[in-house]
Amino acid sequence: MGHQNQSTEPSETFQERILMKVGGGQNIQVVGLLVAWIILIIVISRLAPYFLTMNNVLTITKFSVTSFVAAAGMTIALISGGLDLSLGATMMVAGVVAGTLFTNGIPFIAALIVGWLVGPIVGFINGTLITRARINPLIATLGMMFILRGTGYTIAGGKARAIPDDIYQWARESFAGIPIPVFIMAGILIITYVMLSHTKLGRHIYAIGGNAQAARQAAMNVERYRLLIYTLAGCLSSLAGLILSSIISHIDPAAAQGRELEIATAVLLGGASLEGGKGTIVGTLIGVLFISSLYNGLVGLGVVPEWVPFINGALLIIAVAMDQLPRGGWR
Amino acid sequence: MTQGNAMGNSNDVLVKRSTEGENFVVNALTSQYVLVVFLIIEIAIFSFLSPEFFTAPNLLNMGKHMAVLGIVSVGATFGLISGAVDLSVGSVIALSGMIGAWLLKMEQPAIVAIVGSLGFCLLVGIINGLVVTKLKVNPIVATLGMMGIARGLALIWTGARGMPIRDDLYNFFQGKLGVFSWPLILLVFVFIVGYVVLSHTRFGRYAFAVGGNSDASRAAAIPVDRLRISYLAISGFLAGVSGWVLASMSGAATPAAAQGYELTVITAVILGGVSLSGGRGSMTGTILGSLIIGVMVNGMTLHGIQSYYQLMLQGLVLLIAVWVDSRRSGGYR
Repeated sequence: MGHQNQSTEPSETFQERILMKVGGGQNIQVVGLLVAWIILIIVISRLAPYFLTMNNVLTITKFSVTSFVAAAGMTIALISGGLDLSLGATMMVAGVVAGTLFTNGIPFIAALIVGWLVGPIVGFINGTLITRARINPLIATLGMMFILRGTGYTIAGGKARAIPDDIYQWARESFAGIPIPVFIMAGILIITYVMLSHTKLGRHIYAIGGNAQAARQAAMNVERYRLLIYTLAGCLSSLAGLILSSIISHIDPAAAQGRELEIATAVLLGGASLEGGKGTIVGTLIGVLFISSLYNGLVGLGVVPEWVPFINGALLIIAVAMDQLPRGGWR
Repeated sequence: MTQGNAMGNSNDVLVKRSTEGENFVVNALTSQYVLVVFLIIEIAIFSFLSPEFFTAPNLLNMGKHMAVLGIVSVGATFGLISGAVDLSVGSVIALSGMIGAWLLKMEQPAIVAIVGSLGFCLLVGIINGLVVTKLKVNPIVATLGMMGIARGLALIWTGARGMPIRDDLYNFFQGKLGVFSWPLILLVFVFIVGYVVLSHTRFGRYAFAVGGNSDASRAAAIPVDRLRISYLAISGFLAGVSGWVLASMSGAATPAAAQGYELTVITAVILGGVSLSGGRGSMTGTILGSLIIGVMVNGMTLHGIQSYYQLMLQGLVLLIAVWVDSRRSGGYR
């Protein structure tokens, strides 16, 4: 342990340097996004008065919660210089497993726990593919996405089925007027914030994303951190999946399809970078709220849902171009 | 000359890696002969499993369906060798059919529908190239974004409804020349042209230089940006051709066509030895890769294997292909 303590020192100064370099610009982007979100809300609520009604705000909130919990995992992965495209499919499989077990008579809590375990297992496999087989995270998690979609259809049998039970719809309940999922979202927000900004683990995640080679030279076990990061992302995705499956209260193998792109766009808009070393959980929260409000508003204004993939693709390119262009970008 | 040097160097590295090569399996899989052996074993297994597999009608039918995969793969090979993955091909296939069908419905002559749809797909490819070179967005993300945009366009264009196509000239690919169907003939033609362009023209050879080391290529005064735009334009155009073949064969265009097809294409191309990190690959490898995947899909369908098992297997094959690729080229660090 002695030698490790000694050699982590340079990494911390390295980390501080990175933070100093990007810290200022990053806050500006988050504030800019916040302003954009507020303007968006004002514009849409002028055009469609129902937008700010209690019911619709609840709808947006519920959608945001499932996205945000998974997006927290995506944020960690992006900061470390990776990406997790399997999270939409992980959400679905977790929900399908929990729902199928529950409808087959397994006790509620046991079904939830087994469903949740899908996440860490998938995340661990992702991490192993990336660190041991040395496969590019994007392709590794993309391949995993297909395997998981297939698995979900195999378990659920190709069709969505309702889960007619009150207990399973726990995420639709409220406590003191606030939907239960919001408490989970707040918990994840606080835990992730503290972890990223105030622990050694968080600083090391930024350092690995900033420059993996330098982090290795500073005697960090980059591979072990990456394994941990993808496992964590998996844990968060399956949690999001359980909330989603409770809200829709269906066993649906097509759930959360394409959600990974919406989440990636939200996190990148929130200030994370594909090159790693950048991003904050607060930025992600605002990014998720922005995307959810935008889609909800557009659909409410009568824009057909077919526009969603179009807008999403365009936003993704814009978000990445904004980040890459000033820094020289891809060569 | 400098280009030759850059490529020579990367070959040296390769040779060194493979002599150091710790892994017998990886070295074995690197060779194209292994792909041939694999293909033969695959055909043997499927012939054993279902008697109708190795019959002339099925083989010709398979060739017809393989055309869609093969033609896109040729385009994707150019993109990937030059270092740019094109994830938008699946959506572009759907978009091509939709635009063609829409133009026919607007009572345009078939030739306008064909030229218009292929031209639009070429434009999509050029936009991909511009986003990558001018906005400097990583190609994976640029084309991932385009995947959404093109799929969205295919959906928006007609309000998410499929359209029948009843034009004999557009549906040309339903026809045959002797026993060979036109899609199969077009596939062979595209492969030959792709092979010649990639291996025997300066334009094709530059793809290896650009993908191998873009900075060295710039230093050698190779017009890297313009070439990258051209390779992605080829990829978009050939995806458009595939879309035409698909819509033409089925006599209908649907906006949900070829969903997730980009994965199949990438699997085929990487299986054929094209490197995910660019700079390495060959057209013969791509042919073998698409044959292996095409036979796999056809054989499994004949054997009545559910499409979601096929999805899983495809994800698995992709991961194996990428794993082999990462062992060859040092992998992700």
